[in-house]
Amino acid sequence: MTIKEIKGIDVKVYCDELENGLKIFLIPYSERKNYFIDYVVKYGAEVDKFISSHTGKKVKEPYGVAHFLEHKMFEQEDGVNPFDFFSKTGTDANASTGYRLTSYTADGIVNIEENLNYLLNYVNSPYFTDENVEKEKGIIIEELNMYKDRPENVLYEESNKVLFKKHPMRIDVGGTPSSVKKITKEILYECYDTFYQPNNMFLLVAGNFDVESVINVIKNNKKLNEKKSKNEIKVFKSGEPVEVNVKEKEIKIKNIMVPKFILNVKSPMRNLEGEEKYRYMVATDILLYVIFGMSSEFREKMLKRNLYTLFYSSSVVVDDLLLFEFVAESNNPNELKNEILKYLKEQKITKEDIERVKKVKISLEVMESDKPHIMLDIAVDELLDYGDILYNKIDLIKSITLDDLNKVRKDILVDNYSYIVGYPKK
Amino acid sequence: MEYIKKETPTYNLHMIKTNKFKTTSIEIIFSRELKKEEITIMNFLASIMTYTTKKYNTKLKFSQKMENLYASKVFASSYRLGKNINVDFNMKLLNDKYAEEGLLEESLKFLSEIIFNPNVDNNEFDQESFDVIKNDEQSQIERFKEDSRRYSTLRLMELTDSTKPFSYNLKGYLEDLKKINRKNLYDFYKEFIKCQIIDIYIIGDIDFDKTEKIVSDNFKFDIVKSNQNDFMIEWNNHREKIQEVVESDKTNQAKLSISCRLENINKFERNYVLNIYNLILGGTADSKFFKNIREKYSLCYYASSGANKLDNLLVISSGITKDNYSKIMILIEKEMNDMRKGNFDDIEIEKAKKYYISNLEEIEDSPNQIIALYYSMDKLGADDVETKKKMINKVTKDDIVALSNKVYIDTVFLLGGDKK
Repeated sequence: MTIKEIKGIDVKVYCDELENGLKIFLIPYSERKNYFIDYVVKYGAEVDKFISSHTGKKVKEPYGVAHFLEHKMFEQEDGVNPFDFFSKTGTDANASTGYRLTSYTADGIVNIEENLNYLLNYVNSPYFTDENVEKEKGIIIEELNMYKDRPENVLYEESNKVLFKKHPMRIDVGGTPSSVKKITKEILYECYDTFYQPNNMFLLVAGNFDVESVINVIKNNKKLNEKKSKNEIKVFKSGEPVEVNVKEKEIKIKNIMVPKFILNVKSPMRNLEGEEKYRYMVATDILLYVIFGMSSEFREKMLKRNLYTLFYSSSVVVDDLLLFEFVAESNNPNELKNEILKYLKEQKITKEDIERVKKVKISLEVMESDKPHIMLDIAVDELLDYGDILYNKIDLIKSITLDDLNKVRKDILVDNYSYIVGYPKK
Repeated sequence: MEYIKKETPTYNLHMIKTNKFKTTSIEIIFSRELKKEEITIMNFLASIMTYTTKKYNTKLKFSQKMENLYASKVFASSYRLGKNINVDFNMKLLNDKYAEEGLLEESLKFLSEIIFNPNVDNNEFDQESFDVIKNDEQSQIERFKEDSRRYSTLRLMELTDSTKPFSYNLKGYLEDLKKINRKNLYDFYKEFIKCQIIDIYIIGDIDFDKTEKIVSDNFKFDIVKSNQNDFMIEWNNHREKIQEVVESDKTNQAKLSISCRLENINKFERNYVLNIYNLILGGTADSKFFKNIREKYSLCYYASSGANKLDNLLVISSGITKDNYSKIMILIEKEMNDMRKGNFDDIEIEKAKKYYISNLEEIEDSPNQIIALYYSMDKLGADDVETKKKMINKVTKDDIVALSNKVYIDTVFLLGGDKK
């Protein structure tokens, strides 16, 4: 076990790795009452084509398998519902699926050893039958129906359809009612066996717990330690091109009161890893904040012209693409869209701007580190994005210069955008 | 953790000292009776006060000031407690260690500027800020309808009893928004800042004497403290027959919402038994609703209940396929009847108690929850954590059965699900 410190925010991380390749990260907060467990699989809805560990052959699965698996992991051979076990000690348990990962969580005050043991047991012992798989379809289809009535979900899904030509993000994480109906227990076992391997998973705990006893539980959990990382996982990327699928599209959405849009600028991402990649992403963050953040000239001017009532921006890497996403509610969406693109191209940035925003970013890092569950989420993101927790991030943020921002700016293909706008259905 | 309350002629100052957090949190709570016609203007006022001030008179200056205070967050929020409405001005800032010395004083001065020095000229609010906030309020009111779950709950409350404060839309009303101008907004401000019960909470690694002095130097209210109103909403208009309303809408999923009256419940039932009843019925992922309606019959993704002790109300909600409406109603009534008949075991009671206690313990990890706890002890006569733990363990099966028989379905509302 090694102990590392995240410098500048007073957080210590205890790291360990099991023989079977599972990486463990423990982040104790001795002053707190609560603990949070997060058991993460690097397998989410963006994976649909891969080499099956059953047959060694390439397969393409229906959409929504990762999410379906997440629902079904709560099914156990002895018929006991995990919620039944956790609730005995007032512990909350949950799970969620995204495009990149599936995560199983538990949080509580007492009984961490038994609860952790239990969580490790059920995620490591799948029990799928034709009957219990069939039964789940009704619940999942109701879940999908719920999202289909939410305007923001509809707009988001449509925006991914104009942005991507091939990427599975074109489809909702949960799949579609017809793809869900195609899922069988054989498919679930095939995906489970391929991806739920120790070297493709992380285990994190944050909050109030004793490091030694938690490590003991993990090292003595039979189901987990019996598991071997069998084969290398081979996933086929979608081959998503840099060009957007559709540049501009208008749709009508039920229940929308004021028009809303999502604008995505799609650019190739540099081939970077670890700290270099982090510095690049911090530079994109700062760039967006300076141009579009709370204290930007952009916001002040657009508000004066009554051009938006909601607006936010973010950046993300998908495959080898860098995406800038702008979400807004506006009575004059086309005009606002043009202004965003113009500012992204032309807005001048000064050294003072960058220093001010760096201070904000560092303050936010400290504030977020005050909440163990947020700290866990950040650690998971860093593990996926950069391959490790960033122990040096405050110094890395401090090191960002105008040159870094200019480099990002040169990389952005501002005219390669996709724009979807939803109008009220009268 | 150390708590101290200082009463002054115009406000109460509550200070909580703890070194558990890297931040200090401040809440200034303005409390008054909720009047339907005041909701919109009160939201408007709280928004404009946290948008610009006289000194920081543009959005840019205001935002840069917050950034210079190490990304301190300032925002106003309003929420209903029974018959009353609270408007909170919140601020969260880093401890000096991560920022610089004197940040607390600087931040309190900024909050004082927000409250006492609004962006007003010639007895009117600044035009530019007014226009921006007006657009924003309008879109917030309109946007309310976009969330059909939230919308159907409000419609349910209107159908249940439109004269009671629980049926008011806290986002406000378009017809009231139209009446607001820069002048009457300022008049309202002057009245708002005077006719209030004001409580200031500060929690963090603070020095009591120093903090008290900074507050008294910077917060000089020109009011006479009034007495706290009572909170409870009473409504004993017992319906002979359950009211059932079905409204069609071309959505994929129908929203089922049910209101239940809690009739003549006593203090112990209100504060303790009700929690256990609700947790067993539909409050968790281990509840009767979840286990039976979702897991056993796979009829929905969610089915849950929530109790509001100040409103004497319990609300049940679920998202369903419209064709399953009567099937689900039978199941919901069956679960409620099972509660009345005592068809639940001691394990379920024990679990609900553990869950309740666990939530109590968690309060200590959140500055805002700690403030809410002290506020409820101060204003609502709530028990402290240790007493609550003792009392919850006194709840028996008989208590729960007795309460179950005071829960009456009032109105059933089904919205939408008509897209084919």
